[in-house]
Amino acid sequence: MSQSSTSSLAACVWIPLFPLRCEEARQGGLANHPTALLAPDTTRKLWQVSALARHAGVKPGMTVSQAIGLCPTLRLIEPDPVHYDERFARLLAALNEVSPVIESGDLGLAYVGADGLEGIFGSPGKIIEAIKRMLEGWNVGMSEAGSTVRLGFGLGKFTAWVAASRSKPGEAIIVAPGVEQKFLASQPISVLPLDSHLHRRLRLLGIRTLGALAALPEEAVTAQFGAVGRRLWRLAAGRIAEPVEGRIAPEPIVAALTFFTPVGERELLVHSLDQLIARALKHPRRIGWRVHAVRLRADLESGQMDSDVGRGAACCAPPNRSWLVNVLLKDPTADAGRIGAPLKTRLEQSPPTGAVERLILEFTAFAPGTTELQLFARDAQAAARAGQQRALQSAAREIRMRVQGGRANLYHVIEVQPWSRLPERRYALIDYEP
Amino acid sequence: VEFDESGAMTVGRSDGRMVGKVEAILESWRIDDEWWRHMIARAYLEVILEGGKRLVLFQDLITGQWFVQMP
Repeated sequence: MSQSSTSSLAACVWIPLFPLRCEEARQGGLANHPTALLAPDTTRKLWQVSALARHAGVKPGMTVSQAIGLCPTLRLIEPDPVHYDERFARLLAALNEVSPVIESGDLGLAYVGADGLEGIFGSPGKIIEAIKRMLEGWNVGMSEAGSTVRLGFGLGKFTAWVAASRSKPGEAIIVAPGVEQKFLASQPISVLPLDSHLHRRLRLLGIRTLGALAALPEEAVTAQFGAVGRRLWRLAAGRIAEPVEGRIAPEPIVAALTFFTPVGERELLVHSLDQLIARALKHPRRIGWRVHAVRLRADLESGQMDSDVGRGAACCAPPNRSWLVNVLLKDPTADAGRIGAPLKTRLEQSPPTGAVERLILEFTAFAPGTTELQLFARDAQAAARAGQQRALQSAAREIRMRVQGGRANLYHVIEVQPWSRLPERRYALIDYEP
Repeated sequence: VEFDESGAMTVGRSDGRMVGKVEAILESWRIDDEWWRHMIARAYLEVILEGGKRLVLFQDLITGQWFVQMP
């Protein structure tokens, strides 16, 4: 259900503070004000802050009260993770027009596999130009974010990333093959994937550049810092060039539920989640496959922020807020309980910050089932089911055509809160996609 | 929902078309809920129209508007 390909030459595309840039693009004029994005899991702490806010002393991780104390004109924005995810998916799709090998990192960070692109575009500079042109197309309506794209090119992801992180906004640094070590030697150790503890230890040892780290014997670094240290030494010395691993993502299996009235009760959300999982597991494309990655997202009722957040600040809540959880299952499974458990934990620990209007579950990655399951997927019974499925699809298409010329949606009516005193709360609509 | 001088109830649509006169009220009840979010206050009536049709009506006590509760 998924394929992968690799490329040793890499171009790195990096848009720092991607979520904040998305908000600046969505809300005109925001870039001219000190701005902070609230954390997705708690609206009492800051997640990302703009340069103007940082200049006033505001830092990520601060509480809202601390931040407003430092900068009374700070504009606070509630996070909309689904929006950022969609924008990022569109960015990846745009990059896919340049190269078939695309690997995504955190939001705003992507690697473009460049092996073989010389034959199409020419030199690395021309490849970078092609990526820039593609990004300009993607940036329609997002010019403020566009000017902050940083690009890097080199052998392996790490070199490309370091090049991108050192380039100026809107520009690129190209590291020609063969000069990686020289380029990396002068870079600060902060470009390495370090935790704060290791970073502090290296600084205490007087190691401030990759060159200083690479100058140490590999065995000594390994003895001091273990396997992590060995990998860091190899990255710093340009001894490993991790390739870009592109994956062709399978089409996700989606089940969605629309509530007649927004729902805030956690029990009801959990109950609805169970219904969605059961429905998605029944999807014919899932038969014979185990679920590896799950995404649960919610469209939230647009409304007021809580009192602490609103206090003292000019607050700009976007019209559509959302909530998003991505879970990678350690052991791929087709068991509803095991798929639901991590999602329910997240619902418990960091629930949506508002009432939910629509809940959407997606199975986004799959692993092959057991041999028996694979056989089952191909057996005659499955074929019969596929026949029934085709008949249902045809009937559904016909109904849609008869009602509103094909624009109508079909829904199942399902029981969600049968005990409610308000009759319209007792049922919800679930998308019907045979 | 409209009342004439004698207090008799008539049910109509929002476009002015009449649905029917109320012959009997079978039951009435009130719901007050969700005061912590958006207050909901409704007065429900289960009625029988002339001709025997059964309807459940409610008045939104905040806006004063009447609605037919669909099953």
